[in-house]
Amino acid sequence: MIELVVVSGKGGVGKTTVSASIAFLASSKGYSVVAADADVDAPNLHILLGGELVWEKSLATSEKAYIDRSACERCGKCYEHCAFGSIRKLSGEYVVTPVYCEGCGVCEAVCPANAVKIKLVENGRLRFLRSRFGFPLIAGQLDVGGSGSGKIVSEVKDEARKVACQAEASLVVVDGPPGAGCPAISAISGSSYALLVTEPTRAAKHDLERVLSIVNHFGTPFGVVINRFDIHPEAVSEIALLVENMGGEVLAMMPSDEEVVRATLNRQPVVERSPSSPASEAIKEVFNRVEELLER
Amino acid sequence: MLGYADCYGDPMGGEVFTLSVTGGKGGTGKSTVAVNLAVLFMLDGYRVLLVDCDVCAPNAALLLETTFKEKREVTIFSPRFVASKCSACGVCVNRCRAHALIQPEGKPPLLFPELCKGCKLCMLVCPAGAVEEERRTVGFVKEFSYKGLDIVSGELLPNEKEAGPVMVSVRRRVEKLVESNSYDVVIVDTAPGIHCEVVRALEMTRNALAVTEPTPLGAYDLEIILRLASLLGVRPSVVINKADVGDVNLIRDVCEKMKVDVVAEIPFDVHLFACYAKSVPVVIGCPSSPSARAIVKLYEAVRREVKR
Repeated sequence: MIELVVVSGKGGVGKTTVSASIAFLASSKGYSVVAADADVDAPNLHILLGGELVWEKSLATSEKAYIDRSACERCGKCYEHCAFGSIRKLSGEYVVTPVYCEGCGVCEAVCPANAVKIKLVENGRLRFLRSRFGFPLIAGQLDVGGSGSGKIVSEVKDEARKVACQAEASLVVVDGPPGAGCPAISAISGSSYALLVTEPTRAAKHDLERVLSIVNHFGTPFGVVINRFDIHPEAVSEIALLVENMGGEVLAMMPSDEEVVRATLNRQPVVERSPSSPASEAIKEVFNRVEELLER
Repeated sequence: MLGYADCYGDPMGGEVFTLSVTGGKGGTGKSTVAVNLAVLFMLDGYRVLLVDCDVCAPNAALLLETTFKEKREVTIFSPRFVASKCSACGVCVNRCRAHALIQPEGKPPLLFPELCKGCKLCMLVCPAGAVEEERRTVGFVKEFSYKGLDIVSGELLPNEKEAGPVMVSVRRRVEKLVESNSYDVVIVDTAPGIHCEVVRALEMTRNALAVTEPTPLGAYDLEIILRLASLLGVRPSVVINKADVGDVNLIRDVCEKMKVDVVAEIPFDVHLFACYAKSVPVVIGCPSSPSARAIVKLYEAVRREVKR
């Protein structure tokens, strides 16, 4: 089973566009696929693949401190010792701001009145969806105001692997989160291959470098897709050089393509709507590489 | 029971006009809008501070030819176990909620730095005083300038997970600068998403813009960020970027449902890429381009909110 993660660093360069089309291509060629949406802050994969909800469950992967006001002596020790700025003084009361609380337990340890408890709290949802094409789509959603995206990403990946195992699937396609922080690290961890989507802008190259250092840290083999390369073709060779120096390969160059927008507005993968459009042709080149991995 | 909006809402005080630029979805144009608005305020003679809070992928300073001013290391506590005092009792290992410590038999604990958040619990619970404080660098707060514009940018080191300490340091530095520099305007560029570092950024400001794109993906993510903003007691105005590439009704429907207004529509504009390539903000590089003109209109709407 190959686990392919699609990341980028920079947001909005085409991860979901590419993931959806790769999953569709694999499925239409008869591979058993499981799709996973690891952008748990703002999951979008179900929009392009269709997602009929099969089951949903709440996730509690986050530990938070709670101060019992009736037992609190208002000594302020918790506030003094909190390393994350998550305890505030509000009208003489000490209050935990849940979203910033790391659940480290220091406040509980220093409280002389035993007024602080660390509790596991619900912070997200895990969903099993059935895509329009029949294959499973596992998605997560961080609760609005919740924290701990990284752990929710891990839950999504674990469930996807479990489902893939049970279904004897050969490919898991993970649509990754933007950024190069904890959720991206969780998404990349344990993958067989990382597909990095980028574009030829300074900001995207900078963020690509950050993600590349994570990919390299894990020793994950990787390939790069340069999306909308026509917006600045002069920068393409710079990216290609960077990729080569880091031990990867440029798999395809996707031009700007109106069909991508049309397909997105129509809530479908671009390779389904316009299989011979320039973007689709590029994604098919990427898929050739994925197929090589699958056939090994 | 205190609601979120009671606990949060700690924007910088005084007469400073504070504005976050957020969106939920990545790549909608937050940094472009934040940077260009900051530049326009600066050109009009306002004292402006631009704060880049996308600490896992800071970009704002790349959109401009900035002059580097200084950087401060962001460090967190890291435990050093003193072998001569450590009795290998295992209390710290058992109590560590991050599971960052393991106990080899008869020896001091081993630390996994990438799991350690720097909370100091191990030091607090050690019965033998065998834990000493070391500092570990997890990121930087960098400062730049661009003509008359001051920029503060938080940056987490690659492969580090704990963005919180960097954001806390950014906030502290911004508060210090605001205190000593009488800024008129502070513009905060947030990260994509709705996680706690986005909350920390939004919390610095009283006003917010949510930048989106007119696609089903943009609409879906806009609703999520608007729900977060509402939880924080903030009502953003919505900016539709690449407005002519898609269906703006998708966004207008969400705005109506969430009771927020669309304050600007910025068209897709190839001039933006040419300006990116030269690290020149579009309002300076191509002021008569469609996107620049739309951003200026947005600026004029925002400026009306600024008391001066």
